[in-house]
Amino acid sequence: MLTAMSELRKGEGGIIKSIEHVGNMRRRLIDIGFNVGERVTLLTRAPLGEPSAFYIKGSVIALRRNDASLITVITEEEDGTDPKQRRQGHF
Amino acid sequence: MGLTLNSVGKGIFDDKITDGDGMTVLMSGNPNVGKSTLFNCLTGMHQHTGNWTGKTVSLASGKVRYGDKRVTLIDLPGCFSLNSRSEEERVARDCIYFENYDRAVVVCDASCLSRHLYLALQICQVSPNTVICVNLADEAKKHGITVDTDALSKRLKVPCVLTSAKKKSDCKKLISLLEKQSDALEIDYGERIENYISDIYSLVIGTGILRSDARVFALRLLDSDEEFCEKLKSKLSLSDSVYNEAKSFSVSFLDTHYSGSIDLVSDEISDAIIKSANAISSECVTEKKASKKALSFSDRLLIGKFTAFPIMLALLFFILWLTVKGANYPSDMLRAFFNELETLARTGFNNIGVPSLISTPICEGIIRVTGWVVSVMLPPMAIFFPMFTLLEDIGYLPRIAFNLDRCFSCSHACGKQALTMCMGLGCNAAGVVGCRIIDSPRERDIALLTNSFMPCNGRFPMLIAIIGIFFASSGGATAAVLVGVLAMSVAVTLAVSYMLSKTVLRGKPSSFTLELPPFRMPNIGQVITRSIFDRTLFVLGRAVSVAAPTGLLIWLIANINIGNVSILAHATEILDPIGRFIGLDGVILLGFLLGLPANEIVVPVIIMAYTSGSALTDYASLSELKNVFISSGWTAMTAVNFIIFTVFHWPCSTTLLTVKKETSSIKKTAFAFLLPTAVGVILCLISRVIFSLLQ
Ligand SMILES: Nc1nc2c(ncn2[C@@H]2O[C@H](COP(=O)(O)OP(=O)(O)OP(=O)(O)O)[C@@H](O)[C@H]2O)c(=O)[nH]1
Ligand SMILES: [Mg+2]
Repeated sequence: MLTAMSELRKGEGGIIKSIEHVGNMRRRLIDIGFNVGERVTLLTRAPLGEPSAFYIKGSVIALRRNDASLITVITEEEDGTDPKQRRQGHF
Repeated sequence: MGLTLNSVGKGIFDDKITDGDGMTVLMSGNPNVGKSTLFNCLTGMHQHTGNWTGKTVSLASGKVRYGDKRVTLIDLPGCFSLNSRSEEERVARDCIYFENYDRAVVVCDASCLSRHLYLALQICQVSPNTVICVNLADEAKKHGITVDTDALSKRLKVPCVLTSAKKKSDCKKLISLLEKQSDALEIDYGERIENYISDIYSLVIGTGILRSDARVFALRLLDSDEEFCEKLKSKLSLSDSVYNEAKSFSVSFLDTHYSGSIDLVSDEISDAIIKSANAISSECVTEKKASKKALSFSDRLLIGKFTAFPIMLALLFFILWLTVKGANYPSDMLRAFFNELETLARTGFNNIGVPSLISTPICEGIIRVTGWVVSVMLPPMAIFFPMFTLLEDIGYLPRIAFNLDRCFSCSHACGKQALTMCMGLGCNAAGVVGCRIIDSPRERDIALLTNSFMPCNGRFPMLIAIIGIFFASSGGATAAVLVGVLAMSVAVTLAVSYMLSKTVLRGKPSSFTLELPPFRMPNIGQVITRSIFDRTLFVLGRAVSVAAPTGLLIWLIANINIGNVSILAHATEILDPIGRFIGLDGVILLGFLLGLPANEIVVPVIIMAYTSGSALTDYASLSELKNVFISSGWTAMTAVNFIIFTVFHWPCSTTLLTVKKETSSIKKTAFAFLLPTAVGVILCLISRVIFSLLQ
């Protein structure tokens, strides 16, 4: 299913579907490896809740919530949990 | 952190002209892949390296001899792409596109080649004679990743080599590859763009342009800004008419096929490069184990929800404690040594009959002030710098930025400001230069203007001394108070950043990305020698070169009378009302004013001023110092305000000059002077009010 990259759970991965950013930030994200079709995993969130650290193409890169929310990923529902329940896991 | 002895900016390429027979080689690549490490290994120089993105922010050059060839190596700051418009990547990009060089080495990380090939492929298209250096081979091997550089070389038709930057033999291999020549690479951008490129090529072919240059020109017309295209035009010496024709052709191409969207066309261009990078890397790289996508144990602690902040504070406390504790004994020894030296010099001068008119200023002015600066500054710096460098090399600094980013985003500032603040702890001038890693101009200005809120290494020992004298009896207590002082600095930095964002530097926090590099084992021996030789002794040398003449000056003005009163007394009398108003006094203010070239001399100037003319001239120990201060009217409030003012006052002249250089704006430089001063005055007034309420 489709979710914003910022909504991934800790340890959850997905394939990047689209990038909604425009202009310089769009280019920057593509340059540092957030490419459509690439697999991305949310490793952890910072102790204060933001930013999140993502594993992408062999590196770990942190993005703030706002920036990550503009990237859409396709996740595989491996555990079959209800999407509503998933939301409770984070903030 | 710290200043580089040999950090050079522009003008490097001018050397080349005089250097007829030599070869100029660029070291380029993504950030944090070991460009500077390779550069150092090859040139024997000591460019600073560090395990985080953005360590190198300006150009540096060095020379290597290979056989009978002379090679000039140029270390570039890292960048992710040649096509980005971001300010921090501009230096590297402009070098690759516009400077004259013979070879470009692209350093890649063997552990994630496909990511790094993206830049490598871009560079291979722009410049012929590229050499690809797949570095960090040792790290990749540990992860079970092997790179077949022969296959890579065959595929790209450029020389490739696998290296570990710390192995001398690998560096030699790299140098030997510089002899080979190769052509610029062509990447297939798909029918539509390829047709467009051919059309542009036929437009410009009459100028005798190289095919590869024409391709690059055509592509950049599509995805780059006007200024860049103009520069490319003059580099390729295209005439106005040809350029304009090509430009309007590209605009109409963009309009018809991409409805004018640069984003769309640059997506298509980068897609082609990414595809080809992925294809090449899957041919040349074999992974034995599946890649690890979980946090390492150390990361789970260092950026973990409950452990991150306690560990950060504990580490800070530990470093400060070790600095205070460890500095104690050598400080005493050095102080005793300089006392001895003063006595020796005095008797020596007496014996050879130098009149006291000359010997006293030398002994009491120069030797005493220099002695103070060396004995109080050297030991803490010699402990703090290496420890900090170790943390830097391990890769802890970006983790600090990661942990603290939320605070900065609430202040509408950039999380990378934490990195520049860390550098400011070493030296504010270095911190200000480091602000180049912040992309948004607004956020860069915030970081730059508030950098001096972090007490630099010149001010740390002052704080340690005053805290030790007035507030803490043990090393642990001193360190704890210091942690508090640093917490105050950070809090004020955040508050002022917030206020700046709401007033003169209005704006929303912009987007930013922060790389968390893998932890790396630092080379401890090298860290220690480098941080002592390049940083500690350098900073100390600067301080001493200021201390000696200032010592003489202060002795002179303390002992030359106008009327019946010394010049010093006149000066402090004028400053006294202002000083008293903010809970200090005239002497302290004078100390800070004279300390403009180097903060290190503030305390010795103050002591000199207090003790001049009185019988109390010997200050061998801290307890005697306390007496000097107390008999000069210091109270607890004076000490507190002194600490506040040490942290928040005008930056030293080196820092101000650096601000001027970085912003090229007198107004911002003046602001960089006034802002911390105003903050200091306000905080001192607040503390004065609080103290008067307590009494
Ligand atoms: N294990 C290992 N570590 C390396 C190697 N090369 C570099 N390093 C380490 O990687 C880190 C980064 O090295 P730098 O030379 O500062 O990287 P850089 O490419 O100059 O980085 P920027 O200046 O930020 O662009 C340092 O901690 C080096 O010690 C290598 O071949 N093997
Ligand atoms: Mg470097």
